[in-house]
Amino acid sequence: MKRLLICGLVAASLSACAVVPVAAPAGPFETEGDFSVMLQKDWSRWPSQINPATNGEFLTQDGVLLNRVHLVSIPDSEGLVRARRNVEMPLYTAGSSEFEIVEFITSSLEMIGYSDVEADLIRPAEFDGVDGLRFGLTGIWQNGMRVKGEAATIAHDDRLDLVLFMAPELHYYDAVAPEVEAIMNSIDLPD
Amino acid sequence: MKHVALAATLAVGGLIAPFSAHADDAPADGHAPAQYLIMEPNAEIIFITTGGAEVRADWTEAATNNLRGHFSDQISSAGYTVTGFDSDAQHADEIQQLLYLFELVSASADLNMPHKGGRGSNHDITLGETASLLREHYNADRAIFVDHYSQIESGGVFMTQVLVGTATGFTPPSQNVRATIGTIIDLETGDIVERAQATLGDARDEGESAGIVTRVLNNLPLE
Amino acid sequence: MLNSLTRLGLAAGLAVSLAACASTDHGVRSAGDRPMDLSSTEASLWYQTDEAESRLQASGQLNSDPALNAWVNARICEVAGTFCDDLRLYILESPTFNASMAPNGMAIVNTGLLLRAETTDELAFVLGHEFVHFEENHFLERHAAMRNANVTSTVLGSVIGVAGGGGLSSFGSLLAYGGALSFSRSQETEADTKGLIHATEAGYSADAGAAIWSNLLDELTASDHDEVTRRGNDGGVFGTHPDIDVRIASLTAQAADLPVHDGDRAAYRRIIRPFLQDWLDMHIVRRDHGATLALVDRLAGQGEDLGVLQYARGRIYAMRADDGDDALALAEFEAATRHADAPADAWRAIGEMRRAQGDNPAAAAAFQAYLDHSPQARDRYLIERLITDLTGTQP
Repeated sequence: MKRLLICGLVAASLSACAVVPVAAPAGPFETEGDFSVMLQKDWSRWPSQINPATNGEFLTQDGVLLNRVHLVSIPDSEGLVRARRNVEMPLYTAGSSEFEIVEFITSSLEMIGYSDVEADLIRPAEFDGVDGLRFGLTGIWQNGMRVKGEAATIAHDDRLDLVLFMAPELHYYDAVAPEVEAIMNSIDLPD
Repeated sequence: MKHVALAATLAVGGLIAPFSAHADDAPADGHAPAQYLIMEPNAEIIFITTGGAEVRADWTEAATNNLRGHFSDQISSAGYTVTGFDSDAQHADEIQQLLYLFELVSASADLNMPHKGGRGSNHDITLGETASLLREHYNADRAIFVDHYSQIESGGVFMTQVLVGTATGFTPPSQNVRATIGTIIDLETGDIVERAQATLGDARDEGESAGIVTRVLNNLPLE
Repeated sequence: MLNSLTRLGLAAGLAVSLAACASTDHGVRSAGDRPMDLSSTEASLWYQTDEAESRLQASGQLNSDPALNAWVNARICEVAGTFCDDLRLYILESPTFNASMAPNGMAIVNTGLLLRAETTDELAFVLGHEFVHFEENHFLERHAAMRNANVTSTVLGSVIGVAGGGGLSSFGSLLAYGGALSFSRSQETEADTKGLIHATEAGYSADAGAAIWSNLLDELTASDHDEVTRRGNDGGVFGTHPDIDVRIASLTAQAADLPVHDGDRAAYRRIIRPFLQDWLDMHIVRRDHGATLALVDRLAGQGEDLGVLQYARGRIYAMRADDGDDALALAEFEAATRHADAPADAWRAIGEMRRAQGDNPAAAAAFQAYLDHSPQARDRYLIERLITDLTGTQP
């Protein structure tokens, strides 16, 4: 964790990198995926190019360790977690059942530093007139911090659209959850 | 030995700046001075040799003890009541979770958050109101968290760098790193009140450690 | 005039000579040993493993079942004798076949090992093997050997970045380091030989060493992945181990002169039964269907826990999705539900398959059976909605 701290200092000084975090102002937000959402307030955006472990982009209020809203459209036979040599990664398969989608998300999270990840309150939901799924998440971050999360998934046109919120259980989940709820409710799919 | 000499010069230079501003900060408005909780320093010193790199247990222990002692002494000397965090005690689960959260907060505090205004703007992050558990447990108003990380090259590594430079025209860069960060947390709100860092200085050495602490405290207004 | 490469070689040679003086012989340890010299490499390793141990304790990856922990710890004490108090057991929820005992006494036993052992004798052999690594200071010796060999990468800075550091403070990096720091073949052979003696002296059967390696070899050979199969055939699960078949031959020969008796498979299964489904789930999601099927088939060969095992086999078929696998999966799920130990998930799986087939009444009935078997299901809202959609009525 000391090294993480120093990495943070180094990252803070790397303003000359080609791809850097940028502001995502309140209002309509076109994700890198095939859907858009409405932001109630300003966020910082971590583009997919600077997320080494996962595909897709993050929105964060305070840093991706403290709160992250993961926005991604996952095509058939691809993963939430970036491919690594000689490591079997969970892959999304078009036509997966709701149960398989939940397992895909939880097992993906367990590949990137979370453990003991469990889904709860798995429930049907509708996004922009399309059937989808909502569920809560609990788990432990690699330093021992208990975390909570919430996921919204929509399987359509051979891809899985995902809005995935993760934050420490202490303070950060509750502080950002209402805003994330608004983001999930605003998911706008292409016609 | 140029690198080593330069590092030593800069480190000794760090000892010159006195910690004096904070006596001036001592409360003049009549309210009692804050009581400070000194958290166990989170230190690590890596020794880089031609055979590899390893955490030196003795150096890390010396740095931890030096930093803990000097923060306590210097804050106490400035007129504040000081309590030490008992790292051997079995704390409530929520306090343990709070310590884990601080690791994430500390790793995030210096990030460039564009929507907040860029560098330095992320010091508004917080531990949240759970921090009051520390206030209640230790009867303290504020906590000081200390992070320290050093990488120290051996003379053999330096010689090898010189040899490689002579042979190829490219001298591998020094891997010496010294960084100490102090963070003051308000134990009522959990907010970061102040955060400051000092580079250079050898925390293994008692004298230099005092200088590091002085330089950190020069940028950490107490109240 | 020397060219650059020659000069670089000379520089590296000098660097090697500077580094090569560290001894790698750490001898045999005594019970209660701790490094007294805090400036030593041994103290450094202890410090790092202490840090890794605290991270492990917080990681959420440990099995905390008191009965299972007490039982495995008792087996460690049987093989470790007077070193019992020096070792602290952590049962790691990981499907990998592995165990380790770090210099500071952190003893990790993966659930992947507990799942694969068929008898307590087999587990005792592996624990004996790991204890020899601990007792003989193999970890320290390999660390010293690696330091002596690690000159070029350090000089060129490819190992240690400014921000990356070179130490090991996280549990994950320790595991990665452990992977890189494979024991030598001679150390592995010594651990097999002496480990088997430790196990037999504790009263366990001498044929268990060859047995657990044989079963693992079968599983690796059945893997869908060439890399895994190749590891099984030429290097064991750890990089520089002797070939598994060589180890099996050596252990079989050694066992000829040691006491052998039938292991009690049923007694061992009783110990791991409460965890069987979770541990199998961890294997199944890795999608090495061939290896996992071999494992499930072997476990089912004992004729117990068929509800759990047939459900697991059904999941593997459903996930593999080759031609005909849907029918195989459905048959396994339905067979599983005829056993008293069938997981509720088996009915849900049938519901999913019937729903996909368009057999709405059968799907709804299976989903309802799932809710009956698991009233507190985390996906109850979803299942209720599915039943409503399938039947047009509220469940």
